[in-house]
Amino acid sequence: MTDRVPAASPGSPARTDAARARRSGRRARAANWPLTGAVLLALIAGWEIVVRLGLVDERFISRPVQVVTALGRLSADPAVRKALVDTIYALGISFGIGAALGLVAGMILGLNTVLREAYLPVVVLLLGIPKTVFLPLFILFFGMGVTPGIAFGVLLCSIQVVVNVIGGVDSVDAVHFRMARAFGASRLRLFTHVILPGAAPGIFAGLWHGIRNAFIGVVVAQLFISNVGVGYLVRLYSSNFRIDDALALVFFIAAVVIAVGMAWEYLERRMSRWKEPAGARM
Amino acid sequence: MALNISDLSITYPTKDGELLACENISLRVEPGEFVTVIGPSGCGKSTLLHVMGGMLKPTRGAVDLDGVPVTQPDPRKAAFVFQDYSLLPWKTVIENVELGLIFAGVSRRTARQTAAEKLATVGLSEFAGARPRQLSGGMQQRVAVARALAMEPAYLLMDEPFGALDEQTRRSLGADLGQRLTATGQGVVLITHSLEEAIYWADRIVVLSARPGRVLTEIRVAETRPRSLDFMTTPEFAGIRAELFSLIQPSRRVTA
Repeated sequence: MTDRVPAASPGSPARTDAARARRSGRRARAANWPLTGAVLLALIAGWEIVVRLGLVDERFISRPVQVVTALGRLSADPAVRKALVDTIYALGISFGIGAALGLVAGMILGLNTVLREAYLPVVVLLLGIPKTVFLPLFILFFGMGVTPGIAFGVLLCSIQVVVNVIGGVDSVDAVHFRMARAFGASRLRLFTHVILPGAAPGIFAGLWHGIRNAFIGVVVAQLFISNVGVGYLVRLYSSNFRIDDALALVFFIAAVVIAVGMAWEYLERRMSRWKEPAGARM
Repeated sequence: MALNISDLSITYPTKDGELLACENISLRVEPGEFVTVIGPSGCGKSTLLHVMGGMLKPTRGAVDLDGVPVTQPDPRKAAFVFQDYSLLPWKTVIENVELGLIFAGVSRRTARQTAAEKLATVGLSEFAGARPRQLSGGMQQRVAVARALAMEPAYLLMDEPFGALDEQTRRSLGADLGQRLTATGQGVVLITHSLEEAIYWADRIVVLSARPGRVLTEIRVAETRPRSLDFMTTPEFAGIRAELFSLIQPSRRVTA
């Protein structure tokens, strides 16, 4: 379960150059679209060939053609549609609650030294351990329906948001605090004019990792303990040897995640235009 | 409005006990006067400026403006210009200039209007919509000066404002701003470790000793402002420079 953040490591919560690094990383990838496409095509072709040659049992990994066919079949299946709606609903609620909790907690821990010293170790500890070990507890607390997925997503999401928001607040330049004080800023105006925009890179990174991890939380909970959603369907199909159906769902989810990621990157770049290099707009 | 500093001492807590930064400093700055404070590095001149602006509480002594004690920053009375400019990179130039007014709750329209005027005062009107990082260091410092001027303060408190600039820019920007501020009758307290700057700007130079900073002496510069850069080539300038040099040269630190 990859619910760890690349943005933060235990001990040094959320390096805020994470957003920058991630952005430049993706830009480099975007420049290599033809290469990425070629590699993907080769992988798919290799998969088809390996199965057709009988090197791997088709019952275990299916074939690309079968998966595409399954995709068409599943898109008409009302059970799949309901599972998608349930999952998106769970993700929305989970991200909403997790991000709100994370933003508030991150701001408080970022700005209050005493509370930070008291609670940051707890956050760092939670960040470090694989949170899937808590899944059995979530069944005990929340039963089997949509709720455990939402709750688990909230846990995963809010931790990511907290550490990144703290990192964002830390990245606000000390000279800007001094300037704001010298120019008589009230606490509210200090917050809206200096802290919030200064912490924006960390906030953005936090929300991005938050939505990713909320999604992971929701799907993982469905996969293991729930009886609703796409995670549950993937488990059901796999255990019934409907590998083509299971993979079709997995690839569909992957495509959605990638699309959301690209939309997010676009949004983030639009909102951080001030970071463009000197002369870019003159 | 006269700025009064009486019998000021400042100590810092450090690992090795109390550190005395400034000791028994008394100073009076008249309205519209240019006062420069010079001294060896670490003599507490920057600390002194922060106390003048209400950013730091003195350990002993007091600062007042016409009898009203200065206990917290009030940019309407004394506005800072920092060495690192401290402009907000996500705001445009004009948004940076009007920031103090927005903090003070002035209406957006009035703030924008005042900011535009002050931007013109420093000669940067055409860059109102640019971002700070699109400007050179010298231009950014002009923006910071405009931001301070927008508060229409009794005093500008300039903390080594040209310290991060190259020699050429430093001289021409210093001359230009000095002339512009003279024209507006602005009172200025300028901290510097540059002999040239200290003399060129000053009606009066306050010379501090090495730590703990005490006032060694005050030197009046008679030349009327605004001054041209040619003032730097006069015998008067050379004379004061020699005097300052002997006052703050390193060997003096040992004996002081």
